[in-house]
Amino acid sequence: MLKARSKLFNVFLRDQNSFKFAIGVLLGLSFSIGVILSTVGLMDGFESVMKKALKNSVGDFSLTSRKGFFSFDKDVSGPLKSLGVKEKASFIQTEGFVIFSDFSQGVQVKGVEPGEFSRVTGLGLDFEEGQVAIGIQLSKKFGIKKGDRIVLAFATGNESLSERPLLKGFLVGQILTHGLYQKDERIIYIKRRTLDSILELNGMVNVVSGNLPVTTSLRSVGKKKAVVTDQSMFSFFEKASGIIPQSFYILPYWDEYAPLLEAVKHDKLIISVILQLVVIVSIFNMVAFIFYVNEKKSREIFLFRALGMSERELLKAWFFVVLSFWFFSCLLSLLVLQVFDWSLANLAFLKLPGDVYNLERIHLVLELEDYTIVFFASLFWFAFFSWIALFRMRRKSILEGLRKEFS
Amino acid sequence: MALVELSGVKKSFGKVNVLGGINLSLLEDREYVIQGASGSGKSTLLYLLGGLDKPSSGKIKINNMDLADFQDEELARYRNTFVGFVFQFHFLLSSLNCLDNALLPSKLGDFDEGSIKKRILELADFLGVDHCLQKNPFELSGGEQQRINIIRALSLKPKLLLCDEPTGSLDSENSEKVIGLLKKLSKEFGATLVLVTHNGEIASTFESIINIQDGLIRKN
Repeated sequence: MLKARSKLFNVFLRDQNSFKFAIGVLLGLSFSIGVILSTVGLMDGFESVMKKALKNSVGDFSLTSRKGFFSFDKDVSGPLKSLGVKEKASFIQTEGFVIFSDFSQGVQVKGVEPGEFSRVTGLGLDFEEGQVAIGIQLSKKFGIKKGDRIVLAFATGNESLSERPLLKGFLVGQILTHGLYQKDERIIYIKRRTLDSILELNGMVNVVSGNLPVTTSLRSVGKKKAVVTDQSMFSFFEKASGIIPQSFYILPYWDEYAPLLEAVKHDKLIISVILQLVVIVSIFNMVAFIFYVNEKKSREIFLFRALGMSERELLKAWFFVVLSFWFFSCLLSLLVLQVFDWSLANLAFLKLPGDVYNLERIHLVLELEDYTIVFFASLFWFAFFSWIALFRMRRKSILEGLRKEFS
Repeated sequence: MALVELSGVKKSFGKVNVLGGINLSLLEDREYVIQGASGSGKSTLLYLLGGLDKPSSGKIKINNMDLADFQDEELARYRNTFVGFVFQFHFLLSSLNCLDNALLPSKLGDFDEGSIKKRILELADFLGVDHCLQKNPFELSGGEQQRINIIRALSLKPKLLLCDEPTGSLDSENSEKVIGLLKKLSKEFGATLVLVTHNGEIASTFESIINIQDGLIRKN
């Protein structure tokens, strides 16, 4: 039986033309499947990379008060504890200007406790008193290096000097990457204590970042699970709404870029419709091959039948050939994906303009369900068209087939 | 006991009646020739005997078993091992060499290739085509192709050797040789030989002649 199947496979590919055609079809199919998976992976990758980058700058959620500044210990420490939140960081967030050499630019200044903030965000802040951490894009834009001195201008909290900004010099202690262009260009971190004294806040803060009370193992399974799921976020918010005081509002880490992420979701839908064209092209490829085999190889098939191949064996052998094509197409498409993913990460022309797309580099993110849907959808079409070709062949008796094919 | 028995076998293609009710008994280890004009239904009868098509009505019994009752697998095994078919136009695959063409029935039937190959080599030697086995069919003459066709049909020692105009494309000298070989080999293998021809001269050399006219047996 196995011999019969492999014999049929051999006969299909034995002559050079059929072999070349089969290789062409295999490449065409794998490329089509690869393109579909790449597009899905690209969109998922954009969402995933962006969410991961956002998570890196705020943690899972941020908590702010409608009244402005508040006392962490007095106002929110208790409610967060009763929600089971263990990783949390309170900080001061304000606007300012950075001045370096002849350049200046508006920035967001965050006064944080580096260790505490890093535990929540995973950012790895590490700078001393009198130092600042700046983003990589700001560093590139103004040519600022580690150890350079920059000046930050704040709107003062001192009433007697309210007309004038307060200028303070700092050494650059760290240059870091959030993974988001805007954040890498606009955010500057200084010690909370320092900002507190500049703004005269007496221990008050205006933002609290925190992580959901989930195990760390949940975060490290696969690329996409590096951030908590939307579902777990929503159920946490539902629980929090009854515990957090009314004057506070709690936002998920993606809130800042929610319209963009929403737009990507809609793009996904539209592009998946357009992708049907690729599917159709790949089906044409496959149909061409099946009909080529049907026309070119039916002589062999009818002779095999005449010499003792049963219909059942023929059916098995036929689907063995078709499944082999499908299987190798899927395997090759994985190679196409790897090449594309590598190209996204390394080739200059695939680098995104960060100021437009927020991200400079994205990578493909594909879940098991993406592979399952694409691979099995192609298998369905394979099986469907193969069955039609086989059905047409089975309608003829061996005698009719032999006479027609060998006449 | 009859090896093959046909009763009231009719075959039509659409509205065209090719066989109009054939009753026939074929005995073991005998040689038969089916003779008739072109379009008389002799090849169709042969294909029905070989299980390559089904009759529109009537029964074909092989060793007292109705061919219509055979399941798909049984029918395939019948075509593979019980019947050896020498086709009129050779039906050799150009993508395979002659040895692989001759080995096809054994490969399809999952037989031990070693012993079958030995038999094929002996037959090729006997028929004088041993030098052709590694060649592709298109490199051979019509007579050589026909002899490979015969080797393929005899490779599994069939009980029923069916030959459809095996000398159709040969000159009279080669025709005589091929007929002689078929008779000799079928005797040697203990097979019943049924040969279709419209050549009266060839037919006259057979033990039994079945004359077909307009889909009916006129003389037996």
